[in-house]
Amino acid sequence: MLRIRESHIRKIHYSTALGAIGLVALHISVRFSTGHFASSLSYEFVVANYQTLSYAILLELILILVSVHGFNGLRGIFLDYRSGFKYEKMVNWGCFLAALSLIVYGTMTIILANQIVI
Amino acid sequence: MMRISGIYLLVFFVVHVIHAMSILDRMTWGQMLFLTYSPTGFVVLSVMIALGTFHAINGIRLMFQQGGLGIGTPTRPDYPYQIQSMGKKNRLCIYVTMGVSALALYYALDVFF
Repeated sequence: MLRIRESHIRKIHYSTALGAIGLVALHISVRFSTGHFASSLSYEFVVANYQTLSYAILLELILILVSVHGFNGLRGIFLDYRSGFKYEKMVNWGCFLAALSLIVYGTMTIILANQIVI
Repeated sequence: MMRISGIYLLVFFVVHVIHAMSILDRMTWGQMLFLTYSPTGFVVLSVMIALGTFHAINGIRLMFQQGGLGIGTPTRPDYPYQIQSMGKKNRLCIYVTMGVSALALYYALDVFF
């Protein structure tokens, strides 16, 4: 992980940002498109969302893109304040593991929600 | 502002993902919805939409800037010193971004309340 060039990380940061903008806009518009915000959060509607394959893929993509972008941004903020080999290594691994944990946690939700029987 | 909005959005996202796990139990989902439907929940969501809009539009501006677009040409630094990379157009872009974010906040508050 430490061997990735900073310029490549920057490109990943930009591409995840552009991907996330489009997909999150789509996700939010689905919440507002039902006419009433409250009805879009009803248990049945949300479970139906998870059980639609295209929407589940959309959620998974958002999860990966935003986690990578967010924790990479946080890594950049931390690295701007202090330097040092040990500190940088700690921040890099900390952010990598945090992003990975969140992706695994979110993916578990998507998989388990797919198996709910109403 | 970019960093503050980024940190807010990241914290919101982490809480949102953890909150989403409650879908596995109907009762827990209902309890979580009480938090979402509270005035505090609506304010948190509205601020998220406004800051998300700001972060996205300003992020695209920064992408162009870091690619070398809109930062002007290098000139000899003469007194009174002016920051080349923060010219009138860039300032205008930031103000327009803030305006669009304010509109997004207004729209979100209108939907939620």
